[in-house]
Amino acid sequence: MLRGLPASIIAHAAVLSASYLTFPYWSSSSRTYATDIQAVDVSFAEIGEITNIAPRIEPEEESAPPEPEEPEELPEEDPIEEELPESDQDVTNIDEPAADAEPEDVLPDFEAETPDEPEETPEPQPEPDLTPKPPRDPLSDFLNQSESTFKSEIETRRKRPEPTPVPAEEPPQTALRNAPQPVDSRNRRGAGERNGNIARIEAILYSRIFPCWDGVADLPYPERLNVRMKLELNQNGTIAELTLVEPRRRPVGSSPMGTAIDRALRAVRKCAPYNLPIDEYENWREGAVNLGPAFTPTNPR
Amino acid sequence: MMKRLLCAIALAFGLGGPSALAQFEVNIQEGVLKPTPIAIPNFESIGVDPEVAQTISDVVRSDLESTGLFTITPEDAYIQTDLNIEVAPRFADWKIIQTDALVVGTVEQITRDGNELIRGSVRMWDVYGEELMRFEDSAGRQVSGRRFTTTPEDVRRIAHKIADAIYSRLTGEEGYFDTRIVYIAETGPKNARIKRLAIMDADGANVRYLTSGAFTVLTPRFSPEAQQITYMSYEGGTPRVYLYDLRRARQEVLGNFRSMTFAPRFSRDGNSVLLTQATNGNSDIYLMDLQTRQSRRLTDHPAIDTSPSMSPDGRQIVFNSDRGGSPQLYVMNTNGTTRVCPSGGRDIACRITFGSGRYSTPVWSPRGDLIAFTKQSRGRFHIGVIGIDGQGERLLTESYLDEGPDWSPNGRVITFFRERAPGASPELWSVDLTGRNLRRLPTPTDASDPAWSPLLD
Repeated sequence: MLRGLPASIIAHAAVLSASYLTFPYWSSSSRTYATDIQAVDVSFAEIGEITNIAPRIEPEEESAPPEPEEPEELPEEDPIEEELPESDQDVTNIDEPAADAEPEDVLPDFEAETPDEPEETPEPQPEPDLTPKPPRDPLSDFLNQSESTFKSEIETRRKRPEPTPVPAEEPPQTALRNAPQPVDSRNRRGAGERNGNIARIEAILYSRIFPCWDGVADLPYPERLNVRMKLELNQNGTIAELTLVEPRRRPVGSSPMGTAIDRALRAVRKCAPYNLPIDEYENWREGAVNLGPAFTPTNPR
Repeated sequence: MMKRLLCAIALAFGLGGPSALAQFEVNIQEGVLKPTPIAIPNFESIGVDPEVAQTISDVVRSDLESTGLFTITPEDAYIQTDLNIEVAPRFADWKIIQTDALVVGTVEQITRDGNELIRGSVRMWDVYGEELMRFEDSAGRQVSGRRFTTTPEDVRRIAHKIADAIYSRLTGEEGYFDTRIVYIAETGPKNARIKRLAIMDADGANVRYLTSGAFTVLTPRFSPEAQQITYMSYEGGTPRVYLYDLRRARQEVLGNFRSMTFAPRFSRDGNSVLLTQATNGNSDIYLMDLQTRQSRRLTDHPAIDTSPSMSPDGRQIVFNSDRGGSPQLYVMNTNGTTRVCPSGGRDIACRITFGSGRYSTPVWSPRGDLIAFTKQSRGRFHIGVIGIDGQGERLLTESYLDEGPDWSPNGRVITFFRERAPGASPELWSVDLTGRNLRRLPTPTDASDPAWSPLLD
């Protein structure tokens, strides 16, 4: 056995050397491919979970801003009609600005070249399958779907990274101690520890977000300015995703609702990261944050 | 089959799947209103005197800070100083110093058709959202920044327009910095006061005098739609209402009334003027069409009816009358029809103030929901606001003499004049609708009767 090993190594080396030297001269017709592909276990990670950093546009990569497409119009030299006041009038002339600040020029868009939105190409219609299919069994379909979902969930849990250590910005215990105690039984979905824990999480989040939100009391018709958001958190308390639920998007232009949405999103972002008990991550992985006069407070003060 | 059945049971009992995920719900009803921290580093000067860029930057900062809605992040707190209007900032550097919004701007000199012009450009960044805040331009388009061009003499207007754009983007309301205030400039001893019509930018700059002071003028009011002012003047002996065209620098007597007219105010569309005519000790309110110069009598009552102000939709007016025994505020339909009063009865004019004290100089808000007024009670004067149905009276100020309120064009701020003590000089002041941010407006002379212009074109 031990004697055979050097011989085997030498033989393999010889074959490999010969292959290396003769490889360029092989014809395409004589090329062969390995068929025994070795399976390599690869685990995928969510890019969003590890690279939550917005790309910064480096100056050297920045191309020169494009010139405005349309030539800028010269503000009209608005010659004031220099009529002298009538002699019997107690009026002196006023120096009107020679040229108003209008018309407004067009500032080139920030992105030097904004690619057009790719047009959605319709998915190719699958060829119609003319072969007769066996009648579908609803129970079988349901069970197939269940099995698939179950496997997927098991796989997801297996791949989920270990909890990352929470930055020690503020001990969770302090937040817990300072948090107002929830009294809203609406959120206690049934008795039990689990819902009690959720209520505790809500109290912590309330105490963190509350001072960061400017409210809408100073805006016109504040009773109409209610914003619902969905908040998804990473295990280290940073925001994985924050999305508008209602309204679904910010209205175009300047408006009280636009300002209310800006303030709501900013409040949640500004107060992050949220230091919450890691062992209760499932209780605060995602949830709703609703800011506005219409929402009964989670924790009335 | 059995394996699949077990999977289904596991799902049904919540062993997997999204439905098992606990979801919190945080509801917050009231926020903590505080000034928004905003950083406005000095604008970069490109081919222009750095003093010009400095001036524009200073005016933008001053405009925004004067609202009380913003705090300007001090320059010595900046971590990033290599800002470029075409490059995204390092957001982390601005989060550390707790700035919500970052404004980056340039000021450059350009030449067009042989004319040297100054151009100011800005972009604004949402620091926590890590994205560009898009503006709406004057044509209603979404743009990534704003740019204004003017002559070197008018660089302050570039700054005011930039400040208006920032204010509007951050508050959702129209700005009011590129506006003017007309007022009565007072000089000389109390017993021989010279009162001239004066006009200045909303921040107190560029004061100019419209009348020489040969005749006393009072109660100037700006047209909401045009560069026109109406006011009362003693020119010719009898007090009359005049109309002044700022662009043409001409004044004219309004109407052909036989007796004195006073307390004028434009309708919200600027096409007509409400005024008071006094005849034989009685005063009533008239509405004059500025096109036809025809006037229509709106009140006909033996009491003193004066100080009319029209609602934004033109359908109602509020005025001051002592028909109930003391000066109070009344609301009526402009067409003179009977209406249901807040008290439940029906009348042509409905009283809306019932508090102790005397109410005067009502002014309807541009938003339409409030009326500002002067109130005298227990020897003190107040500026206050009240709902058009007489509900929700709030007193915003108090002093020895506070009088003559007028609204900013966006209905957010009220300007008025104040005498702090007996014999003290009158000064112009402003206060936010919420009662916060009480500020004195600087004027080179004593000043009274301020009136706000609309946004300039």
